[in-house]
Amino acid sequence: MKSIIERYTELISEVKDSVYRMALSLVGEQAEAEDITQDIYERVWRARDKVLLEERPRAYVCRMTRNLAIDRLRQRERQASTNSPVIEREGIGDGSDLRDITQQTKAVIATLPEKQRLTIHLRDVEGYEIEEIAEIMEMDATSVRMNLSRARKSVREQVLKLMNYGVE
Amino acid sequence: MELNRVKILADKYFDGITSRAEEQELKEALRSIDNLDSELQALKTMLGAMESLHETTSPVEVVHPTTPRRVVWLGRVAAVAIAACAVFGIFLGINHREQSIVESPTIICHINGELVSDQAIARAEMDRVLGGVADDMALAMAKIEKLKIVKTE
Repeated sequence: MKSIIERYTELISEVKDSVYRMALSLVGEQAEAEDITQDIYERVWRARDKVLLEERPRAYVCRMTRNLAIDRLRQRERQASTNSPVIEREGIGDGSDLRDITQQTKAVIATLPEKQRLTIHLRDVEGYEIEEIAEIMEMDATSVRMNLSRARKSVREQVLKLMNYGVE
Repeated sequence: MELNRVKILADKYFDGITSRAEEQELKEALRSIDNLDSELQALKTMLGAMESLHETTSPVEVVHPTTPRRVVWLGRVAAVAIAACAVFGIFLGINHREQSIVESPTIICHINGELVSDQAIARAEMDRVLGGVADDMALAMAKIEKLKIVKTE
């Protein structure tokens, strides 16, 4: 029988990269994604009795990450709207430091609307099942598939433009 | 794999209805086929970008669960509080000791081996002793004067 610390360490080791990538995908800043990841480790430990009993603990942790990242994003947007100019995500409009088509495709993904970005990230980057994504995003499977389809088609459209015409 | 099968899987992929196994099959097929049309080439590029994103790893170390960051922070606060209490305690101790010294009975002097704390008795004894010294001094001075006279003569 594994101790609670062993089970916690096992779970965190399994999800830590996924949590970081997901936070990075949502907030777009490395330092903030690291902070969110650190916060998630602590939150999971504090809620270990609940998290470790979940049917899908990995999905539960991802949902915690999503909620925390969105909170931080909203907080940042509120601060930006009152204090300073809005920091824009790196998009395909500024292709000066985009080295190749893969980098440009990553930039395209980063400019997708939040739900589409998270759906395509969870499915195509992290490899989650549709049901798990539905649980993480607190929506039904049909909505997940719809967001996924829109995201994939939107990225394809932009990649085709990049391949045919380059960055405008 | 037949190109037709690849195209069917690609359509399903963009409709968001492929299974994980079908997506894997599609990836492998795209790797093995040369001269893809632009749509399939775009899909291959997308899947490559996704794989590249998956390679990012977390730089954040796992903090040991028994010492999460907030507990460490609380520990530091507690240490400072204990240190402050210790300093305050030492200050109180010193103050109390000084107070005890002031409040304890004052020993003025010893007279014939006995402790005397009464200021009046001590002063009287001091006058008596100094008086004796004064008498002795007068006697000594008289002797010195006498010696001076002898020397002049």
